[in-house]
Amino acid sequence: MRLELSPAVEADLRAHAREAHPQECCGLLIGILPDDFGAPQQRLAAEESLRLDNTWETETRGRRYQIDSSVFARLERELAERGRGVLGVYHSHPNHAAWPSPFDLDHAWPSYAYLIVSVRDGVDRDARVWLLSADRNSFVEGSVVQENAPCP
Amino acid sequence: MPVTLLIPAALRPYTDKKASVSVKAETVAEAVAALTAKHEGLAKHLLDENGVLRNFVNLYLHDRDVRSLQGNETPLKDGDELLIVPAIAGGETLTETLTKEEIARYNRHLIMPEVGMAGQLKLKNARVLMIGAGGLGAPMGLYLAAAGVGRIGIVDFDTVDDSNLQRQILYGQSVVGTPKIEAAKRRLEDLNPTLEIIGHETRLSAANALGLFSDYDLVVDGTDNFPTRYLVNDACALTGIPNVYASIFRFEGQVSVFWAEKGPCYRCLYPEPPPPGLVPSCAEGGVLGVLPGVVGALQATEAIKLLLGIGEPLIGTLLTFDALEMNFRKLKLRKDPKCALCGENPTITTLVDYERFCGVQQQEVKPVSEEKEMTVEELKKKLDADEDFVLLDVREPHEIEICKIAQSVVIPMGEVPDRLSEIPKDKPIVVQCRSGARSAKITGLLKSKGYDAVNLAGGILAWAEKIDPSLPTY
Repeated sequence: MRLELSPAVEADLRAHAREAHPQECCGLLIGILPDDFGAPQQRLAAEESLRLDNTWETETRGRRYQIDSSVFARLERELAERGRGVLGVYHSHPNHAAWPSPFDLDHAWPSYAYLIVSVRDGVDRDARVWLLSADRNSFVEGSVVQENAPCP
Repeated sequence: MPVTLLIPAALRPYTDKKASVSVKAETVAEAVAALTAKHEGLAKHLLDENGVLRNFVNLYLHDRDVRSLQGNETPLKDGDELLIVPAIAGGETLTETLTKEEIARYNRHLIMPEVGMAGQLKLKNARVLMIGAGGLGAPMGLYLAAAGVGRIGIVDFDTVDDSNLQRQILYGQSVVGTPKIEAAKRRLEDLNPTLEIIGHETRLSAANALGLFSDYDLVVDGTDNFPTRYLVNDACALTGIPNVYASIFRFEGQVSVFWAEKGPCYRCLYPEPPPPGLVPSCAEGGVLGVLPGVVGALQATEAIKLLLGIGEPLIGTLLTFDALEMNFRKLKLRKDPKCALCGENPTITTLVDYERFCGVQQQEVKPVSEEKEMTVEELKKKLDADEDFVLLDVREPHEIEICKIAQSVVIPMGEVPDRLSEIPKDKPIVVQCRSGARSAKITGLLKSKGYDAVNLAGGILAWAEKIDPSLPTY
């Protein structure tokens, strides 16, 4: 999987991660759904990022995120009307590496790009993107590239 | 009857890219079963190992979550549309169950409705950072570990010393000389092996505090000096976590909870530290051994209440304890709107140099640069050569009972100004105390009165260390 982020999208989601620190932030990556959406070789281009409220109960919000599903349902409908869809989900890992946790794996959906931004001491560090494997047993790391960057 | 399931884009790779699938079903359960029978690849994403709908899969019927209707048994009508909505969640793995052994261990908690299974799980998932594993840290560590706080971090860089055992009940004779972190970890892991005890063998500083604190839910401060107290307060406010504070001296203690989001912080109370040397530490003034036991247990109580979210924590309240009178008093504390840290227009937005803020450096540098001091070796030579001079010990009578240099004359510090006539002006005077701080002040006083006085560097502690190891120290 290859996830393209425009500099503006990347800057915005990193800013979100910093502002939410030490709590965990979450949001969606929006763009045109490719024909092979969900395939391991998919190429996704995020046109915008959408900040969402973390609805997990306050005391554990620093360590988990949750997106209200009624909000999600409404968004998917609205996006479909303008030919867009949810490409994936981003969230931050305060003081942890940008690797998915067992909890992330348990709760992951297929097809979506899961982008994780590591934040330490209020500073955003690396961002890595992950795709759930077809057997649900693991995540496969994809590549994050800046839009217009040459192909590796 | 025929109903339609609307498939989110993420699941369409499993439905041959179809956005909707029609099945025949009477209930929600039947519809899901029919869908997964038709498209087998969907089953592992929608259902768990037991065939139950995964808790992050939501089904909506006419914009209502079927869980709020009759769940799986919700009846369906001809032409109904069932929308599958991903519940998006992730984050750290938190424990959601207790093992059989833990249930046995925490029985006395579990049978109280105020704690119960939900509360015990809160404790298990909680992360508490203890600053210092000394007099206060010892009972706090023991009670937090016994209560089942899942992750306990300990910041300390000291080793266990004989003089600690009078009150630091985490340690015994066998671990004297061992780093406190190591000894504390061993003791707490023995007390409760289900926990994660993390040792941070470092001096807490402006450079590492924010990084350390943001890994924890709560800080319990067991330190005994002003620079660290301000550092802990500021770092807690900047990371948004509560600080369970205490201080102890001789027979008295104080406890409060400083949580800038919900009440005052330490700076609301004391915007500036006292001048260095004005407030004596326990090492100088002494402390009743059981006092940190009482006060540390109070701190542990407050920490556990905050983690459980029960009772009235000491936010905005200072609890004072007097062991001699055996009374507790509660004083109201107000949040200062002008507080430089947590007020309306804060000027402190990052950590500063706390040693300098509390004037510690200036205090330590002064005597060295201005005054020539005598070493214990030089004193030994003078005594051996039987030179004519006076060795003046300015310590208190109860200190003299512990140890004394044989040839010294004793006048307690506070009595010197009134007893100057007893000190000969025609002889050199060497002034001595325990470590050299009080005697430096008296040396200055004597010099100002025209005496030929010099301070003994390091006091009787240095004498015991370098000249006469047979002397007991304190």
